[in-house]
Amino acid sequence: METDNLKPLSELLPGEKGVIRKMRTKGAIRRRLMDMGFVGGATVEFEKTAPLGDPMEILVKGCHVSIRKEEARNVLIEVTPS
Amino acid sequence: MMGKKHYTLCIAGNPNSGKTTLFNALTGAKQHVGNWPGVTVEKKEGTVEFEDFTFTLIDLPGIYSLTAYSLEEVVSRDFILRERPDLVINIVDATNLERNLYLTTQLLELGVPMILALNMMDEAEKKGFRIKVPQLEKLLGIPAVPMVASRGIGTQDLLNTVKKFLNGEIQISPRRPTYRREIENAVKDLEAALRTHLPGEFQKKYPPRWLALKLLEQDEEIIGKIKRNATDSDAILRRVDAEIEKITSILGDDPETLIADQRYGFASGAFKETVRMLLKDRINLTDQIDRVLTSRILGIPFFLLIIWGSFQLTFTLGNIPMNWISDGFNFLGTLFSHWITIPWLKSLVVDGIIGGVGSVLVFLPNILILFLIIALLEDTGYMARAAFISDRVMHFFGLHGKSFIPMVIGFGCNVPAVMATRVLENNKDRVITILVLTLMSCSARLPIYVLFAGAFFPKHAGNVVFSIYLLGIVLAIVMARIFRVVLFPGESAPFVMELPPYRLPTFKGLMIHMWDRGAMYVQKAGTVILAGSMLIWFLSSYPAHPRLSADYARLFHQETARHERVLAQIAREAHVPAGQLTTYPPFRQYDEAYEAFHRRSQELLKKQCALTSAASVLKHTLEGIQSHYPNTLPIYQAYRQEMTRYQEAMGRLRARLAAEKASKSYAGRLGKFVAPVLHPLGFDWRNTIALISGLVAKEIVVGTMGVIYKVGDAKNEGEKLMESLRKNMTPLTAYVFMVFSLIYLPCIATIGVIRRELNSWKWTLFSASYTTVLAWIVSFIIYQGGRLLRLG
Repeated sequence: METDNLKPLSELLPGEKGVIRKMRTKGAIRRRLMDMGFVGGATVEFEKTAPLGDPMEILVKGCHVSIRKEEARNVLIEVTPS
Repeated sequence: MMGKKHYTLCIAGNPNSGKTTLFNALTGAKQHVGNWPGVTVEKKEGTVEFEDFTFTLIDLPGIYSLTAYSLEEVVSRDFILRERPDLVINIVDATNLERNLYLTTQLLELGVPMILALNMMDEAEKKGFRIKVPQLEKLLGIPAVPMVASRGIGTQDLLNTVKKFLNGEIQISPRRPTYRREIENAVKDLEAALRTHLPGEFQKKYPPRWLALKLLEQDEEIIGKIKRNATDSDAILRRVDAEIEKITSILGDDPETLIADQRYGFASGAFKETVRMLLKDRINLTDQIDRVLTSRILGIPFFLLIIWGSFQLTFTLGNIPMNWISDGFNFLGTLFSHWITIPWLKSLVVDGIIGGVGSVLVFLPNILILFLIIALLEDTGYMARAAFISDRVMHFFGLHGKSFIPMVIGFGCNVPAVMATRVLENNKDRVITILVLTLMSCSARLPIYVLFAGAFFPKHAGNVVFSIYLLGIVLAIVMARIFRVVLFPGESAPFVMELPPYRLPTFKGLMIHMWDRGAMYVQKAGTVILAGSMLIWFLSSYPAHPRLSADYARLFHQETARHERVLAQIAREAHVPAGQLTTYPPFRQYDEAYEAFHRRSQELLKKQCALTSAASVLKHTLEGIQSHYPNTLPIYQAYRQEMTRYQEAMGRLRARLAAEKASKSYAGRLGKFVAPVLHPLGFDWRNTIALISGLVAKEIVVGTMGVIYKVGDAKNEGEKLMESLRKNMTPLTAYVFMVFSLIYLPCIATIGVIRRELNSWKWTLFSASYTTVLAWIVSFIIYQGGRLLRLG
């Protein structure tokens, strides 16, 4: 399976980094994600979640971006070993 | 002035790239804010005088891309392509160049002359970025000007570059990305087809190559344009679908993704070749601030503190000038009512115009302070954090993190709250937030609750009022979820939002922002509010001379005649000419003695002392006066009694007249006409009139109640009103009345602002009618339920 070593963005651990390998969304959400820098090959880092546990703060292409877990679930990451 | 050359420029860029700061730096105060035609996206326009040029400068909305994702993006690309400004200024944040260049890449593809404004160069240097500007210019094919817009550095260079281009001293030929062979082939084919099937006029505006790319990206808005403008559009679109399928099967991904990937490739290529990082991973200020402001433990307390502080500032500080304004208008009203002698004109000017204008301007201080705070929160970058923190809760209700602040402001006043929804980018979120935020009980509704809770539930007033507020919140949550499902089914707007670096806002930016909002409120909302207030004034004061059940003039006359007869009798007994009773020396001395006694006993009561000392002083004084003027005390007492009786009788008559006029005015007739509809809620026609008058402003409900229940101008008006309410209503109807007042149609001011902000009569009417229907249903359930439980 291609998803063997891939992990949804929503399941990264704080401080963990990875490279985007696949996006499972369509339409407006996908387009918005791409506009904000979520494209294949981009490096992302999970900074932290909001105080109530959702949304999460991601560092992508030098920007801090807030994204809900339900949206992050569809961004698949290859975790970079630290 | 002669021979000035006139050109149009526009500024395009990402949100938080300093776009508005540059716009303000270039135009100064010479700007005005409006809306793009047909949509609620803000349009800022200003003029710049530079040497022998006059520039019209358009500030396009902040965007990340040129897709059809948002109205802002469509408005921006349509402006650039259709209006063809002479030059596009693309401002980018130099500290965040890679992501910013993604939009630049898309702008380059439009093929229009463009200049790059490299903003925040000072911060970029501090962060360790070294940008080779000439190299960047060569790669993009456009001039680049380094600048720090917030300090006005580089703005002259920018204008000089603009001048050189317009004078033909430099050429600009934007470079654009080339895509993989399969995509380029498809683009070429489609381009050729579009050239033959599109009118020449259309091609002049929309370059066919760009249209071909957009078709491969499945841009709904462009597909619509092709359908409307191209001959044989079906064949073209079928071909697009075939090309997409072909590319997807060969390259394993759809063209939309491939095109975006390659744009990013172009942007990061340009970034990597021109930017060198000197220092790496230096801890920056933003990360340090966020370690506190969005932390797990302190994040929420700080958030609540900031919201609470904003609320307090807006309404506590705002109430001071608010009172000045309302005092000022009262003073004006008194002044004019002395000057104007024609009754109808007096009423029109004083109650209609001055009252109406006053009701608009009275909100202005609140609005100015609120928008100063919102500008501060936005420009510093905290607004995005507030949305980040509250999104979890708001999302549960079907709303957006950014809905939180307008909802809280709603408790103060719905008018600025509706205006505060501008922070929401997505129109669906805005509509839902505006629709439900009128259920947040504003401060103008409080006097109604205070009156009814005080009259019917004196021991539990606090709890009763709290239950009303709570009901409003619960209803807002329920309605938000219903609206999300029923009005806007399908996927909800994504919450992918940038958390920009914290920055110090500029004073100029804050002032301009505050001033724009204030002026907009006064101009646009003012007209609707004023017209509405005048209408309600007309309905409640006309017909001016209805057929009355009694001849009030005669009754007034009779009472005055009786009063004069009694006074004459008293004067005869006191051996004084009839007109001189008020200046009769013993009467004046008695007056003074009683007044002194009254003052003294008030003081003693405050200290909770017995009144004996004051009483003995009074007795002593009275005896002293009587020794000078024997036998005058009984006559004086008869005189006092008569004066009180006369005043009370006249007050009762005036109140009866006012009540009858109110019930026979158009508003009163309307009230009686509508009353049957509200009968199942336990309301009579008097309640109905009060509710109708509350459309102007809900605090008026209490005043109208006073008029209708013939309270008159007695000193203890409040107590008397409560008494007559208790006679006419049950605790159950009183509670239902409070509930209805909470939910039904917000005031005219709010309606006016909703109309302005949503730019749609449809949603305005929907807001007005759904709240009223909801008020009826909830009141019906409570009233009939209460009766079943025998609470009535």
